[in-house]
Amino acid sequence: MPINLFYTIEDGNGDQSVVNLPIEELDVAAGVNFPFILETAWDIINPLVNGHLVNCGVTIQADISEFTNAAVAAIADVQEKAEFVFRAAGGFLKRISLPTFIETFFTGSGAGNEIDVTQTAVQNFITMIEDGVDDALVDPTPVQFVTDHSEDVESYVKGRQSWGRNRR
Amino acid sequence: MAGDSLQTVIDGSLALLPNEVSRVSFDDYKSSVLAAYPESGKDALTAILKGRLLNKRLERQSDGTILLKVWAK
Repeated sequence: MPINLFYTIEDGNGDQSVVNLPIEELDVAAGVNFPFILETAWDIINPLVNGHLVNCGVTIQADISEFTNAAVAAIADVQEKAEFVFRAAGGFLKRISLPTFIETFFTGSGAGNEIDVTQTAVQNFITMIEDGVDDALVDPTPVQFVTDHSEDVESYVKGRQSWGRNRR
Repeated sequence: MAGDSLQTVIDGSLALLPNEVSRVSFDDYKSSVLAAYPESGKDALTAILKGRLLNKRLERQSDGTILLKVWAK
């Protein structure tokens, strides 16, 4: 089974939603720098959402006190999501749903339903999922994102607005 | 230019990409495309990104910021 990064994001109502990002299997005993991986991936996700990061981790929760993490926006709602669809090795699809996604990152500055891939913050996220997240500042080795069955995620397919169940 | 076909704008936008040695930030490249093609530059950029017609790489800077660099394929 792949190792899973998770990020719990909270909106203005106190509702929470979890983003799960499975990564390739790593030799944890060899000293993998998970806090660095988590913070680097969050630095790329953070500009996309206006919710507040509550916690994140792998199998244990990481200390987020040093993470960049703005106060939750009043309009943040975890039921307002963006669903990114990626193609993985073998032709499988990997869907990643980001809660509290900032509306202006949809096409037409928020008027459309598609994710605007020309937005730098969006493109950073897509590039990270396609190419992996660095594990160190110096001489980094990108850690690949994978599907739940460990196929490497390779390319972005499409992205659109999606809604959760309990919007309020 | 007004009236250019999308393919013409895509080709023109790709011609603005540097080589690997002088790769530029995505923001700078996007600005140059939108300056050259104010009407359909955004559509061309969308097609280029969805079609993976350029090389791109995230680079973490010494100050901790993350910069997306692009260059020609």
